[in-house]
Amino acid sequence: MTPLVLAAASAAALAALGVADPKRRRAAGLAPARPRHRSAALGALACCGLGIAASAGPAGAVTWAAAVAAGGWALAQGLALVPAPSWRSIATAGRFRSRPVPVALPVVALICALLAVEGRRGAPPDDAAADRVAALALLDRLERGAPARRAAAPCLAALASARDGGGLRDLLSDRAAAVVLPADGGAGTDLQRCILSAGGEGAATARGGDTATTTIDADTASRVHALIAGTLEDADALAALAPSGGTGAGLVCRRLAAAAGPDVAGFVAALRRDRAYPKAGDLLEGLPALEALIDARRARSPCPA
Amino acid sequence: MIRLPAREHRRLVAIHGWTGVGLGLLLYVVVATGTVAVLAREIGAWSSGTLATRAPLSRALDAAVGRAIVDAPPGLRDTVDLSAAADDRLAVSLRGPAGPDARGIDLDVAPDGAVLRRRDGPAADIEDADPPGALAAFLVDLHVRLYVPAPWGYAVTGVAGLALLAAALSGFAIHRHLLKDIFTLRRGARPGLTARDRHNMAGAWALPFAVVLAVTGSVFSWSASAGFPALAWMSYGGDREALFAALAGPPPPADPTPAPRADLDAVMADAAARAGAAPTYVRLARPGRADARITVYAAPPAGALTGHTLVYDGASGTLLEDRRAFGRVASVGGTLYGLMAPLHFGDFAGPASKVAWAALGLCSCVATLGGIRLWLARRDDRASALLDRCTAIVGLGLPFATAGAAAGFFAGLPGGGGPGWTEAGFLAAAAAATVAGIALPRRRVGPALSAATGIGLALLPALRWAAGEPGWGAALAAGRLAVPSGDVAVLAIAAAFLWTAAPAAMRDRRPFRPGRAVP
Repeated sequence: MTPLVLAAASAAALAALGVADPKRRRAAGLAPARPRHRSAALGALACCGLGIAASAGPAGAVTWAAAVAAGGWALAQGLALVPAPSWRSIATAGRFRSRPVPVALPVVALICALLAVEGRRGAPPDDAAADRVAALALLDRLERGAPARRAAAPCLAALASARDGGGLRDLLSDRAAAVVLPADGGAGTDLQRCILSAGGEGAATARGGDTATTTIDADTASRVHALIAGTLEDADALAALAPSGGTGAGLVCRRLAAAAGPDVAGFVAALRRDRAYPKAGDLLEGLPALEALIDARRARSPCPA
Repeated sequence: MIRLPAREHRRLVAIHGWTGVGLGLLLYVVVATGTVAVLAREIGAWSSGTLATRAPLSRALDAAVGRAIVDAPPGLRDTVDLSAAADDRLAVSLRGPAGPDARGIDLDVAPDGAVLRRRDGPAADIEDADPPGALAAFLVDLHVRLYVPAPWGYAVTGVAGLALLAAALSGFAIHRHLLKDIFTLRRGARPGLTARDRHNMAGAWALPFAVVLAVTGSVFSWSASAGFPALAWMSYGGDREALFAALAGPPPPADPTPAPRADLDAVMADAAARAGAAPTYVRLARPGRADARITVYAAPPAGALTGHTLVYDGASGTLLEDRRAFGRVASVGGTLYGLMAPLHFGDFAGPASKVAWAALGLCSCVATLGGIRLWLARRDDRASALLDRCTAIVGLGLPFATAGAAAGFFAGLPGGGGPGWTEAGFLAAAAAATVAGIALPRRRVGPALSAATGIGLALLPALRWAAGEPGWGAALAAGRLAVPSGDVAVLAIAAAFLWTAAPAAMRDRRPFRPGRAVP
């Protein structure tokens, strides 16, 4: 039983209470409902309230109570506009027994519609839903990984600016390395910040002329590697991706395929559909690079090295 | 419901009647404005024509807030408040140290980070001066303090809350057949009897709601002026700082050492994950100092009535406390105090609870006005006739003036808008309703004001569109239902007013005239 079905049942119980109101029936010269019938309607209403409280929590229960009060007020005014019906006209002995189909059909249709709506709401995830779940999970990691992403950003920047930098790629292979960079260049600064992010130990820089040589021992290289590859999840690396692709593109490309499967396009479409998720926009803004990767995957191009 | 001796019963009937007559119109105004104010956010989305879908506090804020802080003079960086403004903008309020001469800067930040508007000056002058949100802010302010200067406005609405409580409880005690009569509305009976049924029925259905609203509203109105001072006097010899230290914990030791700000986006993401719901309000205290604090107020998670208040270290970004609504340890009183706001505002379950609250507010309005007219029906003197005319003017003049406020808001939009236009629209319509109510014969006051309100409301969608607000096509294309559903709701209410203004013969309803005794 879900809130929508319980709300419909509550409305039916409330209507039954209104129809069976003894004072109104006596005023119309009709026999009042038996106490047990009114008790049953009241009990059904109370059960619906308990069901709502169990399924929708305190907020649902309070909302239900207020809606019952407001609905009861509206119902009472509506009932005053119509004459009180005789039991024969509303009981099974009356109209339903004589013409069951016209009465039963709308009721059955309403119940089917409610069940269909509820079934749809609680349906197991289909392909689109699975895409959405995968997208949300990845976005969730993007949020949770923000501190690690900030720490790793200088390392990615250093890598991205040193495509041809001899030795810099050794940072990703856990080997001791000696990196020679311009003494006053941005890549050198990024590298220093990257090493500091990884603890700052096991590295030394010697300046000579226009260049600075940074030597890194294997432990530091391992920590930097862990910083980049271990703490960065797919979406983290994705966020750090330059629009034109970069050294991180290969990493992203491989991990994206691992995370979202071969149908990366479905994953992206799910992201686009999920406009309600607030952080989706942040990721979608960086999508040109992602879409370039998707195109590459579709064309079965290998991931960048 | 309660069997009372005849004498007590007569006393309670007198209390019920005189409370309603003495304070009924004030009570009606507070309840009616509250009924509208419950939907202030939706009204704001409709009136400002917001088409964006992302909540301002759910996007990246750190860079925009950092720029706002750096651009502000050091003396105005004591607190920085962040909240959602109309039209998907972020409202940033920077304030100096609190006090009567406090100054500040208010910024409207667009989704792309651009500063759309900047107001600086005395804090009291720049607050609530948000043009796109002026209509919603006006409606809320009207309910909270009826535009009476503080603290008197709160006292007035507090008195209305107590009057509602007295009327609800005395009505509960004197009505002997509360549940038996809950569906009783004899439309074909004598007009007085029908009116009594209508009052009893509305009062009975709205009774629990009225008690809740009366208690919570009174607490809000009286807590600052009487509640907390009394608590401080009783428990701490009048020392309010000691009281608040006991309730919220001692303030952190002052440490003006400069310190980097924590990443606000990381804090917000952490707060949203912990609270299970989106943040609704953020306060940065002393940003850029070692003793900085970030307080994030989150909406209630699904199924809950209350949200979380999370306090972070403003320099390191570490969570310090999940703060309770009242006090530092769990208590029944603290839990009840925490329920005050959601039960008063009715916003804990989104539109569903808001619509239910608004419907019961309408029910309370019917009970209040019906009760006054019932009391007047027993009397046939000059004072009663005057009160009857006032009831008609206030009862129908308030919806007309509210429609006037909306019309003023839309009329001012092409020129930049602002609260002045909204207030002017309200006052002009209220003045027109008063003049019409005095000048017209009594029997024509109600139909005339109903018709005017219906026409005024029916014109609002056209006025909104003429003011340059988005049409239905643009709104639906953007996936925003606030605009078309707001227009439809306004037109439906307009139709209801026009229906009540229609001649009685059209509606097959006999007129109810004051002065006719109720048997």
